[in-house]
Amino acid sequence: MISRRAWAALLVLTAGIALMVVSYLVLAAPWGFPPESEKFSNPRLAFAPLLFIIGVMIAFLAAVVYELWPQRGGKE
Amino acid sequence: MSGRAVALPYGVGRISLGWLALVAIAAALVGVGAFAYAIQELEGPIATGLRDWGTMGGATWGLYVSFIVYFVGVSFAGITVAALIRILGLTYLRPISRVAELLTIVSLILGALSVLADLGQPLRGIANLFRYARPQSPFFGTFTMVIAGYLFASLVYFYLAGRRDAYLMAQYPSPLRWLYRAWAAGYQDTPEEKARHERISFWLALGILPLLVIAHSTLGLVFGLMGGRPGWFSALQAPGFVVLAGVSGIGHIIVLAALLRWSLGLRDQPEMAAFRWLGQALLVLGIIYIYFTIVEMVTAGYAGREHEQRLAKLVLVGYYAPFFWTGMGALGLAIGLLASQALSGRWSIPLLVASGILANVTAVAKRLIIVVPSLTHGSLLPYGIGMYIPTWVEGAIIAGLMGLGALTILLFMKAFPIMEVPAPVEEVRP
Repeated sequence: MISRRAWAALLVLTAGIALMVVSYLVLAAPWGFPPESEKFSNPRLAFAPLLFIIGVMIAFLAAVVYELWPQRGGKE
Repeated sequence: MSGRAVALPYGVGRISLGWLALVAIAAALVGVGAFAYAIQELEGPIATGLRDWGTMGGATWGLYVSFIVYFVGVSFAGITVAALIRILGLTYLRPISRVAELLTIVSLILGALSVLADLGQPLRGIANLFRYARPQSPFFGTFTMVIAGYLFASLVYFYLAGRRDAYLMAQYPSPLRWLYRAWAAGYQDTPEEKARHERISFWLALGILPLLVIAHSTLGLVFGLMGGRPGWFSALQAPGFVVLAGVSGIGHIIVLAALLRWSLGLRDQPEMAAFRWLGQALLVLGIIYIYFTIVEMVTAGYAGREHEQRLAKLVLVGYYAPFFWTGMGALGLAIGLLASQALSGRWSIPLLVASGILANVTAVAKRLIIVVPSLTHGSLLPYGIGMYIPTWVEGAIIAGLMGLGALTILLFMKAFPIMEVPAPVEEVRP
């Protein structure tokens, strides 16, 4: 059975990865038609690269959440 | 323990004359660097030897960019060693894990500060980087993933790895008890907490290792993807950067581990097995890097296009040859020293330290060779030959950064155990 601690860490990890995926694939990646058009070269949202970095940070914060999650009554 | 004078482990809180002298030297370097940076900010980049390439006949990247690459390279080995301890169970490396992690964090911060030194308007540069950077660009990988993602991941690892020692330190009466309690954050060294920490450290190490390879490869790709810049455009740049990062980082760790053993008066910590492992790793990486360099030079010099052949000649026998041969000679000597120890089976700490220093001479010389000649002599456009001579301002800022790194490590050593504390030790002073 997965403990609450592991669930919390997984939630934070998933949030971080989701932010990375959305900020890159949706907000910054050069998708469009025609694909070589310069119009799609820059991020669609200003500070999308910063969101990607924040996503990386949140993903690694999952480790801190896992270790620091309070232990109830001395047992998981 | 309260109410009695106790000696904190590994010299924490004990101020010696030697330590004070080192702090004074490091602080003086920081002061000189800050003064030089103030001049650069007041006068602008004209105070440096950097000029536009082409019509101004200069190089836009010089000492600062060479040292960005160098500092980021040094960071490689620290977190790698820490990660390998967890993943491969190399327990004899544990005593050097904290200093290795600290080296990673300090060198990444110095790398970030070198970026700021290179920018004419640092604040505008930072804001625009986060605002407009394209995540598919190697520059993004280098200047944001490395400095934000990789540094943050290393800080998380460092923080979690230090909680146990913070808990142990909080048992002693000391003015920094509040800091140890805050760092420990409720940790009590129970078997469950230990198991949990081992588990999360393993997964964290597994997560950091690919990030680390990506970070160093993108730094190499900044140069390697420049199709219009002879000397840079090469598939070997990314793996070469990863390997040279390992060479310089492991060299640094050997020197720091020896300094710790000497300055703390420890006869058996870090143990010889740790030095042997580091020596063997440096030997293997050094040989791989020599091989990469030979392949690169043969390809460019024998079958390269006209500009690449000219640049290869310039590096091998021309204007930049002294830098190239100093770097290669130092690496050859380091490999010789390491190979003789490996073959005889007798490892010597002074010889390992000499190898570590020589490896870093190579790393600095090779970074300069990678960055500068392609800008001064590698243009495909019909411009004349460029020139780059660093000014004292650039030298002083780099010296100041190195002083800042040394100062950070020296201050940390007096506030927190630089090696893992084996068990609470109480010594009553007479």
